[in-house]
Amino acid sequence: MIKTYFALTLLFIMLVFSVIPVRAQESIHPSEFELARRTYTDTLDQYRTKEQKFFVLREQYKQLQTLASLEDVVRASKNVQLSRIDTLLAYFSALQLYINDLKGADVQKKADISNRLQQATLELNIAKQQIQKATDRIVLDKLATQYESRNNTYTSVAYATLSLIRIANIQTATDQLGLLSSQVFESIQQSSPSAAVFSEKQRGYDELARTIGTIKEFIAKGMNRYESNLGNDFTQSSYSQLVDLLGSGYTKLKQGESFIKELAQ
Amino acid sequence: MIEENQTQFIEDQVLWQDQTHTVPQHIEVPTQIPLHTPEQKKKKLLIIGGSIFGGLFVLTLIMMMVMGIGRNSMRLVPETTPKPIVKQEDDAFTKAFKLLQQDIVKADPTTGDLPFPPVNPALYIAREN
Repeated sequence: MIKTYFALTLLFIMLVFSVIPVRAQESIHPSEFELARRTYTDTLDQYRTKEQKFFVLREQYKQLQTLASLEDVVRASKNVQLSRIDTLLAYFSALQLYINDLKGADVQKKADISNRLQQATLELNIAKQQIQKATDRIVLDKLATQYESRNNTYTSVAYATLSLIRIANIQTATDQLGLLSSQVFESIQQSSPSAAVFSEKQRGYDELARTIGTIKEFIAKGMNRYESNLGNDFTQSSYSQLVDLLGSGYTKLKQGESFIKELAQ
Repeated sequence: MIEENQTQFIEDQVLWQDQTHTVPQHIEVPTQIPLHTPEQKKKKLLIIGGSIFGGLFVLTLIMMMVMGIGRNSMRLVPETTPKPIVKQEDDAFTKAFKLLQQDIVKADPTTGDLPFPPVNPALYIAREN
């Protein structure tokens, strides 16, 4: 009887392993940035839960005014402040990885942004240690004030990084468009078309070159705005203005995409 | 020490006893009563084992259906008129154009990735936000 069951178990295991494909083979290995972004998303989710709990307990403390409710809210305050810092650390880590692989940006500008990210990370780690040591509401509220006074700095670092990323990405695409348009025109010349066809292609190429020129103007304007903002604090508003400006350049980029497709036909 | 026969008094005497119908003082009760015969045991074990394997088999079938293995195995059945698979190589322009399209998608400033985390900058215990 035992032998029969042993044989059946073995058969079952063999059946399972022979029919179920190894899922790991199908999954694509995520990049280091992708992993960092997932970590950031998870940390943000945890923060939201802790923030909600903190608000509930703070309200409870306001109503009850007991030592027990104070103890609860102090613990929740510590947790939510630590979680807020962890969220920012994960966020800056993801940005750092993005910047490391960023193409189309000036090396010096990348290095400057990288330094600012590292500085912010260092500050946050110090703040984290202070919160970990804190035990009462006075110290925790003092650390909350300290964070609030530094929040604009962190926002500024983030939006400066995002601005550089947006400019660099549109620069990369424009460079690629310029390179491809030259190659296409070169191949048109080599194919020795008729005078009428060549004239048409030449006009198309010139129009494409003008479009690329316009995109470059938008990028230059964007870069000027970026540099002028570096002196001040980058805000969400200044970032949105930059995005709007680059948006006009992007529309031209899309136009260039359709032009080159027509030119190659 | 408790007497075994609790109904019997110490100094009682038998007034009359029917010699033909004597009640035995101790009745031998078997300590282990066989509830099931070996055949019944075997049958029971077979039912339990069969149920477990049946359950596992059904579970495997469900897993296969969920993971789409059923569909994959159906593909193994040869078609009546197999179509030849022609793999077309992209030319240099198509390859470069696809790369350009990827760059253009990435360059869209409106689909901003990683905005600043929506954390509350003012988390005080005893101060209104």
